[in-house]
Amino acid sequence: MSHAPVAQPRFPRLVQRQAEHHAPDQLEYVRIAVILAAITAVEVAIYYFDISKILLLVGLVVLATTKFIIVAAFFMHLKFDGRLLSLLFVAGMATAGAVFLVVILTLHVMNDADTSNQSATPPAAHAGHSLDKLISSRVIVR
Amino acid sequence: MHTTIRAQSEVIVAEVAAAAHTEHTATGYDNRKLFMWIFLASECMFFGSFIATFLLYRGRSLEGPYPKDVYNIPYTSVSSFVLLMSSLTMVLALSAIQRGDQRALRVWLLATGLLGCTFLGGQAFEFTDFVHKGLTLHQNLFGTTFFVLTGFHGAHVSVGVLMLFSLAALSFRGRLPQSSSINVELIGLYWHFVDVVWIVIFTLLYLVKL
Repeated sequence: MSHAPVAQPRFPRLVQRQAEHHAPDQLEYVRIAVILAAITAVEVAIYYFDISKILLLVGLVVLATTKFIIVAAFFMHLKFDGRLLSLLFVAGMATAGAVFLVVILTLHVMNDADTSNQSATPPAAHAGHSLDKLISSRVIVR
Repeated sequence: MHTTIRAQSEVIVAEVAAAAHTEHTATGYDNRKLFMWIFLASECMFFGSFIATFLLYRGRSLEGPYPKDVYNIPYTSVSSFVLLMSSLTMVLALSAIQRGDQRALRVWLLATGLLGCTFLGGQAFEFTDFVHKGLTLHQNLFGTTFFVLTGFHGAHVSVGVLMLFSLAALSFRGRLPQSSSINVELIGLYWHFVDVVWIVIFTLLYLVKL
């Protein structure tokens, strides 16, 4: 039986894949899971260490990022698929991060503007303008 | 002779059917796989917004209970471990169907679903415990942001569990052949994403002290 010719993808560099046999076998998956469990144990352990909050934050973020990359690369097979799928996933995360940054900067700008204007105008004029005050006035809901 | 010819013709029909379902796409990927990744990218933004909101409102509650009053880190660590292991069983299920091992596929799919149910049970117990300690959705900023974020994550896990048991049922009915491994792969991608989101949630909500 003759088969129709397979059309070539338009973006070969984005979809170039490693051969199927490069994907991990079952034992490899188990080893990866053991590594992930070990990293989780380390995360919980350093939570109980008496270290500075900044150091704890950096350590936890590094460990969590490592776990994230391992799951995405090996379990979700991003390492063995073309770059297009990785680009799509990273684009989503980058957009989320950018929105988060914009919100943080916006809130800081609002808070800074409120502080700098306090000496010039009566405080009552700013009541409700500060996001913190707006949240505080509505935070207790029964 | 007649039986052999019939068996050969059935194989040819199956090959033609499989070829007919193979799409020649511009990207070279199955469109369903591409769609799933685009969906996961949108889910990144979905969860990213809730996580960002939690972090922004952290420490701004005027009254308790506060995180230190309710969190049980060892308990949540076990929950995290359970979800992590479910990712392992999920990828083993995918490996099984790609090898054509239906029995292993069913075992690993059911194991993944059961681990997911265990995680959900743990979440339900934790939520109940928090409510008993006075933390509700309306109590303070911490309660609102915590329950919305983890509640939505739990809802995603629930949907994933339903899909996993559906796949297992299809396999038991003989309707999930090796040629349909893409279906297991797609559900697997969704499940791994749910696990990855929990990795972020566990770290930023429970472990990070700000």
